Amino acid sequence: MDSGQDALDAIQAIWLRRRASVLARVGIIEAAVGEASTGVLSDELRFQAAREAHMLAGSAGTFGFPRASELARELELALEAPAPPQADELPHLRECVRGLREDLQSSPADHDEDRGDSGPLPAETDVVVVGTDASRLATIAAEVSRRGLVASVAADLETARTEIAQRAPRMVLLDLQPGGGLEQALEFLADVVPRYPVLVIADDDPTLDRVELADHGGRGFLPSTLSVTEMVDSALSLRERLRSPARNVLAVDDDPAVLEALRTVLGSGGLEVHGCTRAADFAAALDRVRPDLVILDLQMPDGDGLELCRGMRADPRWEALPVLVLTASNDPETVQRVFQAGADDFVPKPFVGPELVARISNRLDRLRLYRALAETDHLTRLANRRRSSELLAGFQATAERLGQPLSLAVLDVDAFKAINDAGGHAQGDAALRAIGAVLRRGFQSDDVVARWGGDEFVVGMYGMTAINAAERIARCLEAVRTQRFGSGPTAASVTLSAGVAELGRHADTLDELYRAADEAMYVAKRAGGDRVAVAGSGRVPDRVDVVVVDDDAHLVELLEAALRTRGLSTRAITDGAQAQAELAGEQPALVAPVILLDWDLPGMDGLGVLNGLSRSGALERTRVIMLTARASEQEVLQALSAGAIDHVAKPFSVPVLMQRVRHALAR
Amino acid sequence: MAERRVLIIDDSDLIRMAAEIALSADGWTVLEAASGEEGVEVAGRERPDVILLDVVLPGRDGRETLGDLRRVAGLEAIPIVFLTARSQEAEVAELRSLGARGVIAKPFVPAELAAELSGILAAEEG
Repeated sequence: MDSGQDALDAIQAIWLRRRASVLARVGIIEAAVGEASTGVLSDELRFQAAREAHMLAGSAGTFGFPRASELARELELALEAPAPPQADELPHLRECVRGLREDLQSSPADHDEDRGDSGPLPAETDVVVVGTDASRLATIAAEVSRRGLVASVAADLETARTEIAQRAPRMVLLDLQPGGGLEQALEFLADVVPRYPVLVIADDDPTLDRVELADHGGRGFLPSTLSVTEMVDSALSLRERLRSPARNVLAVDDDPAVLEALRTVLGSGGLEVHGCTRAADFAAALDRVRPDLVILDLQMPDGDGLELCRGMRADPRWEALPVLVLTASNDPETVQRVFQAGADDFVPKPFVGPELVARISNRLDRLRLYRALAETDHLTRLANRRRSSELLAGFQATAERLGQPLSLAVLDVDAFKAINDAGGHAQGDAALRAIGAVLRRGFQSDDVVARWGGDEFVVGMYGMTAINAAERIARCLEAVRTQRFGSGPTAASVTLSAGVAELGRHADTLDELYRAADEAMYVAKRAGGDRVAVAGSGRVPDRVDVVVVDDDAHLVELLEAALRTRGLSTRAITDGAQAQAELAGEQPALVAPVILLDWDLPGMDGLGVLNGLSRSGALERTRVIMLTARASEQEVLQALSAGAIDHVAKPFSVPVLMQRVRHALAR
Repeated sequence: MAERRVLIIDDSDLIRMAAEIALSADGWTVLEAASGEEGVEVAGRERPDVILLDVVLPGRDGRETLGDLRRVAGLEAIPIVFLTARSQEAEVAELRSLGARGVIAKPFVPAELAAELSGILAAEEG
């Protein structure tokens, strides 16, 4: 029985090692189907693709991918036919190719049991650079290549999709030109992000809404004014931070052939192997590589592997680092010496690839588990204070170097004591867990999300100004508000108050930043809770930020709640004539930076109110967004020429309208 | 029990490796060849007990290779089992009519390959 299981493990190990070359075969099929779509498929490529499909059809199932075999079979039949595939077959074939890649990129373990994270895929291309400026793309790609990485470029989003699907890169760099198609970019991100990290190069351009980009998974913003060298440096260091942990191996062996073999065997499993051929260089290599695991040869010409191991264990920095020893003899005495010296495991030489990979993965998995335990808040599974402080310091350095914003939010549960008092600590814990889940969903790996103890949460957002950060936090507050936690009759809901501060604008150090955000959080609490406040926007008691002029009571309520959550104070007016009277006089009773103005109103229609505002000069200090339900294009143009800065067609989604309000406030 | 040796002729090294692991776990000694031509050469030298032969091969394909093997003195009697990714009944019948002992469908399930092979060999020996 055991030998059967070993055989299956070995077969899986072969798969892992060969995945990159198998995916390259899929790339050929993708290319053929792609060219068939544009009508330029040569017979040569078609038959090559048919051969690749045949090979996959005959083998994928053996390695645990029966569905991939079936899809490959279909592709083979379509490609090897006497005539190239017809237009009406193509959509189905594209589906087949996509399914094929998806299936093969999943872990074979996914097909029977969940073995968790199988690590990054081996990549043939490291970076795909996407943008519209071909010469700039070429410069960036050349810079990437200079670092010994493989880059490819795509000058439009369609090419980029194909390129990324074929090459399975480690990272995508998206160079967004000012004013260039946010919609398209968002759609592109939605397509690509689930599988690959996308770093966005963008200037602070209001048409490239960072909240939306982040919402769709864009990460790690880089300013386009950077020199290409700085840009690639920063991209790689951000990527380093976003990368899955525990993947650096330091191998010590005097035989370069062994090091090369280790590189081959482990490299395709996503591990990076750094070699060291002299015992004398070991200490320096440890400092430089900061490995997640060490592989030691027992016999070195200039020293004893076990001596190195003992020396390493004496240094507190390395006392917990996993060590694997390669040994030619595995007699009991040697094995005992290996463990006494502090090694964690040994592998007999000559080593067999799959065994070595299995033992190393085992060690790294355990290491990750320990690390996760030490860095995670056990209740919410968010980062703990120590870990998040480290991460924040890293993002602070990057933000300052790149001139990018960094904002910090402090969130605190409203009336947490009452929840504990009413439902006991179990109820309080359930509330904190529910909040943790919402925050985890709302933010990604270029954000720092942590619980700092008690009922206090902290979110650091790289690339976000305070106003953008406040929007993202507001969306979380809305999500938390609708959650029910606990069960049965004691099920309840919970709200949060949040404060947001931006580095450089509200504070110069992380400590000050935290204090500024914390103070803003208390402003939000005092204003009634369940809302976010930005630091320094100290409430003038009677100030109104947004006036909502609409006669639909339900809509008004919805808008006022959304605006309030974003820390904006509101006034509602339900009648056109009244709006005219209050807003458009010589000395208006009500002055606000933004007015949301409905078109159809009792008393006086929206256009009439707008004209009144225009005549009285109120439009010099107020921006009007028209809300239109039945208005024709001509009427919309009429409103814009009468001085409205924007219009939103009803029915609209609240986030979209809030985005427009944000832009209006920022103008 | 005497050593049992199988030669697998398949141009995909993935398939050869998977077959080797699956069959050697069951006690087989596995010989490999990546083409029909190489297969005939290895078979002549090693005289395996059974040959697993892929149908679609570069150069001489599986059907031609079967003929080549049959023409070599001393190899005529070695049972040949086809591996095929097209296992419809008509094709299976056609392959058997060429003189194959049996047909195993690709992709095969590694854990079942040895039993499948033994089954084919046992069925027609008796």
